[in-house]
Parts: sequence; C-alpha cells; structure tokens
Amino acid sequence: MKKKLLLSLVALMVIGSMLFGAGIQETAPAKEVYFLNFKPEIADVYESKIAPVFERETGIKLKVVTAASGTYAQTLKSELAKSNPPLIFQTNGPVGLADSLNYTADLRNTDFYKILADKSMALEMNGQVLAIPYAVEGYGIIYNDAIMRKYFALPNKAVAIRSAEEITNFALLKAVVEDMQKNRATLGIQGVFASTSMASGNDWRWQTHLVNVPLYWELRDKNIPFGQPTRNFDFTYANQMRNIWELYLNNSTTARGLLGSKSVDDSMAEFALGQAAMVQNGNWGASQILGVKGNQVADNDIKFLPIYTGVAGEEKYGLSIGTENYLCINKTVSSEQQKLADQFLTWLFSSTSGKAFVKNDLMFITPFNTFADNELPTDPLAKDVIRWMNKDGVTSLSWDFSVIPSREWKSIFGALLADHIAGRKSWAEVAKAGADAWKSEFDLAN
Amino acid sequence: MQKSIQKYAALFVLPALICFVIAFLVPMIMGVVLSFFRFTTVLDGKFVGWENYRRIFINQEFTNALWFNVRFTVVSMITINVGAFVLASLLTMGLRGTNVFRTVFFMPNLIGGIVLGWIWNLIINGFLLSRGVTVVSDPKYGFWGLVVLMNWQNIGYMMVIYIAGLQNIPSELIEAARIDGAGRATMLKSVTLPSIAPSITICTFLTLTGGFRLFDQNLALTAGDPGKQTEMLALNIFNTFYGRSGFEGVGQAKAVLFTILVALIALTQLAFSRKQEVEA
Repeated sequence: MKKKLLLSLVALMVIGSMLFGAGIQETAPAKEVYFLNFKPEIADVYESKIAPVFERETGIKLKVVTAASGTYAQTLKSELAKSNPPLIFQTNGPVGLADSLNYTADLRNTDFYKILADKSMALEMNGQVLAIPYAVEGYGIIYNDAIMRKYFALPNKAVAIRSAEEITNFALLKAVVEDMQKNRATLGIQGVFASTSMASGNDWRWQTHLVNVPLYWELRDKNIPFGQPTRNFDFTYANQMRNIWELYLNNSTTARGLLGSKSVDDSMAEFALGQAAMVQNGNWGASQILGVKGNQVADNDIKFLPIYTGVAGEEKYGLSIGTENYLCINKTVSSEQQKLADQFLTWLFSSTSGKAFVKNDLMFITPFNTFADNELPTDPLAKDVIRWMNKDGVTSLSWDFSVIPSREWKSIFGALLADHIAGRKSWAEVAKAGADAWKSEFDLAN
Repeated sequence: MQKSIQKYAALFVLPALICFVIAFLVPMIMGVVLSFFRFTTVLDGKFVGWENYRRIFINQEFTNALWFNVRFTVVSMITINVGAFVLASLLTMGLRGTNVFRTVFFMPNLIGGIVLGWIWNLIINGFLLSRGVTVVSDPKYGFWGLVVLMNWQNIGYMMVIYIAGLQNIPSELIEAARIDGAGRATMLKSVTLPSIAPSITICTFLTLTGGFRLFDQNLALTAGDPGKQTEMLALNIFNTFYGRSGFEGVGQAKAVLFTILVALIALTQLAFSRKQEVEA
C-alpha cells in the first residue's frame, strides 16, 4: 500500500514537472510578428491601436515589446538570445549597426526597401542593405508662441525685435531669454527654459543632441563628409556650446543643484503646462506635449527655433534634421518569419490604415514614396520641422552624432556635463576630457 | 521505510537538482567559459583567451567601483551590526510592546530593493531640497544615502538573529556572573559577546556578502551617478555587460573576478569568526 502511494506520488511529480516544463517553453504562434520598439513615447499606439487593426486586416498577430528609456541596447541583446527573438528591431546608425551585424538580414529584395524614396538613406554594408530609416526627425528649441507674444507686448522689453520669428542668432536669443527671465513673474512662467534634465538615462538631449551642434560645425570646417567616423574631435566650438548650455542653466525653471532628479518627461510637462516658454527637444516630443493632462499650449503656438550658439553665419542655418531610426529584420529567424516582418512594415507604411496611424498617431515624417503631401503628419512640431526643411536660404544641420564612437562616450560626456553643473569641473576641463575620451573610445572601437 | 527512502532518494532529489543545475550550475559554467570569449549574445562568440581580463584594467572603472564598494561594505557592516545588537539588547529587556517593536523593525526587510531605492531616493531628495541639491549631486550623498538605506533594510533582520542569540544565553551563566560581581562592561565583554558569537558570525557574514552583492538598491537610488562615482561592483558589471557594446566578455570576466573575490573574503571572515566562537 505504502509502496503504491509512493509510486503514484512520484508519478504525479514527474508528470507535473513535465507539464510545468512544457508550460514555460515559449512557442510563438504560427503567425506572429515580434517587433522590439525603441520609442517609449509611442509604445501605446503600437499595442492598443495598430496591433488589433493589423491582426484584423491580415490575420497576423503583432507583438510589440518596448524597451524602457535608455535601455534598448541591453534589451535587444537579451531578446536576441531567446528562442523566440524579435523579427524586427531598431538600430541607430552605422555605429549601432556594427554591433548587430550577425543578426541583420539583407533587405534588398524586400517590399519595404522598394517603398523607400531615396535609396541612399538606407544603411549598406558589404553590398547588402541592412537597415532602412523610417522616420526623419528634427530638433531645436521648441517655444510657446503665446508666451513669446506676451513678452513682445511688454512695454518694458529690452529688445528691439517684435516676434520670436525674428530671433536669428545667439545674441538675439540671449537678449530675449535673459530679459524674459527677468520678467518671468509678469509672464507667468517659472523660467524661460524647461529643466535641463540630468537624471540617469535622461541626459541624451545634451550629450547627444546638443553636442551635435559643435560637432557639426567642426566636421564641416575639417571637410569631413557626413557619416564618416573620425578619431579627432577637438571641440573647436566648445565655447559656442558653452554659450547655449549656460543660457539653458541660468534661465531655467529649476535650480542647478536639483537638475539631477529631472527627467525629460518632467521638462516636457513643464512646457506643456506653461511653466516654461522653451525646451530643447524634437518633433517626437509632440505626443508628450499634446498628451499631457492639463496641457496649456495651443497647437498653433508650438514652434521651433534652431539651436543658436553664436557661430558666425548661423542665421542661414536651421533645425537639426536627420534620422537615427533604422529598422532591421532579424536574419536568424526562418525565411517565412522574415517575410512576415516585411509584410508588417510594408503594411504599416503603405496601406491606407497603416498610413493613417503613421500620420495621426505615430506622427512620423517618413522617407517613403507611399505618402502623398497631404498624408504628412499634422501635429504642430512635425509641421514646423517640414516648414524649416523647406525654408528658402536655410540649411539644416545634419545629425553628425551618428559618428560618436560609442555609447560609452555619450555617458562619459553626460557625466562631464553633470560635473560642470555641480561645479566640479570648469568648462575647459569638460571640453578637454570630452575630446580625450573621444580618442580613447575611438581606439577601443576600431 | 528506511530502505524505501534510500531507494527513492535519487527521485526525490531530482526536482531540486534540476532547478539547481538550470538556475545555478549551467549559468555559472557558461559565465566562466564566456569570460574567455568575445560575444554579443550569449550563444555565439569568438575565443580570445585572457584578453577580456586584460581589458578590465584599461581604465579605473573597476578599481574605483571596488574601492567604493569596500568602503561601503565596511561602514555598513559595522553600523548594521552595532545597530542590530543595540536594538536586540533593548528588545530582550522585557520592555512593554516588545513584540510590536520587533515586528516594526523587521518589516523594512520585506520590501524589495528597487522599491526601497526609489522610496529613499524621494526621501533623501526631499531632505536635500533645502540645500538645493539632490542625492546624485555629490558622491558623498550617494554613499551615505546607501548606508542609511542598507541600515534601514537590514537592521531589523540582523536584530532577529541577535535576539535569538541573546535569548539562548543560559540564565545560570548570567546569574553566576552577577554573583561574581561582574559589572555591565565585563558582562558584555566576557559573557554576552562570547555567548552570541555564532550570531555575530552569521550576521557579519550576511552583511559582508550583502554589501558586496548590492545591486538593486544601488541602481534605484543613484544608478552610479554622478559619473559612475557611486557605482558598486555588481552594478559596474551589469553596466559593462549591457551598457557597452563589445564589452560583454569584459563584463563576464569582471563577474568571475568578483565571484572569486567575494568567496575569498567571505571564507576568510568565516574562518576568523569561527575561531572566536565558544561552546557555551
């Protein structure tokens, strides 16, 4: 009797563990596209809006996983090693692509590649098309024109110009900003610029985007063509970067010491709530302004100014426009799955319902030939980026930060900027350490 | 019965063994092997010999993290154990509400490290607000913030162990000491401390290894800011592995060194403390 009981117990255990074992093994449904999304600000659109419609129209499931801000590379690394890896993932340019070469399929024969308007925008390596851009973006200083009009109507304003449109260089910007900061109580703002967010993972607006401005000017001076890696970044425009950097810090909603706990979300919320008149960010931030509860900014008051730093001739230059959003298809999955991935991307960027999502919800300015002029996004920031792109006599700054030698350099530079805020390092030390780190990071990567 | 247990021993061991192999043994061996490879994901790589170990020391990161970690561990080990012992002594004196206090002091231990890190991040930032700084403005805030956090979390746990130790001191021993005219200091030095030596051993072991293995609290409170100056070993390994492309193997090599280091320190400490223990 006892023996029987024991035996049946053992049998139960074995069966149980087998069932349990089967339960944890994740098998993908026959038709599923797994997309590892890079942009947290629009994660919800993919999950709650696009996935159901895509499944209804094509019968294919869409699984979207979004990496938390600043953790894409590490999420991708662990997801790729799983038995059910993502079919579609993102890379940020040549430097990022070099890390995932073992996983990127050749996209030359995909439908997705066929709809790319300018084929030179795709990333190629060894004769293979490995990554295709899906969104052109622009960034600069976003301003709230209602507050600006209020300022320019002040009887005691210290500048001669009469509207934000007339700000065309750093000297004017500085004069306006400093005078606005003086009158902040009258204007009903806490500071001209929203917080210079320095919380962990939230310093990319400075260590990538802002530093792109001096990088752009230096590389043009040296006649280095766009996209070509360089070992030497001498920070010849360090003083110009310092101009704007200190303008941000000195005319902010937040005291210097408290910036370490501010996130990009905080800054965008300050702008949306009318506590700040300006914030440096790109058109991807539209959803963070329009979507904030209690948003105080009217759509047609949200506009862009270029990041002026005091470089001679900057009047003729516009926003920083480019892309670091490229999609890759995983080459380690079966060819059927690769086709599904292609099908999803082509659907998203060429079908009527897909394009409606891109225009209204994702708000991408896309580089595809499937979009007519009236299908461009209508959110105020995207519209203003398009306006700046097409402005007569204005050249856009390119996104040269794609040649930053490693992500580590960005972290190092971000920490240097934090040191500068805290007063531990002078600007000269920041510039020198930044340039030195560039060399050592370049050598490590090459 | 005895016989049938022997007969089925292997079967009963099996589930635990499988878990142990999957969750501990395999990753451990893979980890050591991978430390000699250059790889992106853990399933493919190229053998590079000792290269990863050499690359650990191309900059000061690892040694800085080690030094910060050692300082933190020493300070928090002392403060936690002293604090826990004092509380345990107070709560074995037969005060009113002893059980309520024991429960309250133990409770922080039930909260996860990430949550604690965030909570203390808010508290410390709130406290520092009057000075116009945050916990990541200066590494010393981060250091003491972490010490406070660890104390808050661990004192209650260690206290329970000390209470058990204190309650196990035979009352005859205490009486005998009193009759012999031992004062408070002598009592503590010659009776209490030697009697609870096993508790001291286990508590110092736990706080020592805990200090070195600290990860979630570190990540949530400061994330290593400013500029990696409050980064401890575990977080540094994580950031090397995940944060730097091309350095996955280096992160792995650091992890191997880290394991050896913690094992050595813990074993030395155990051997040392065991010597102090007496049979009561």
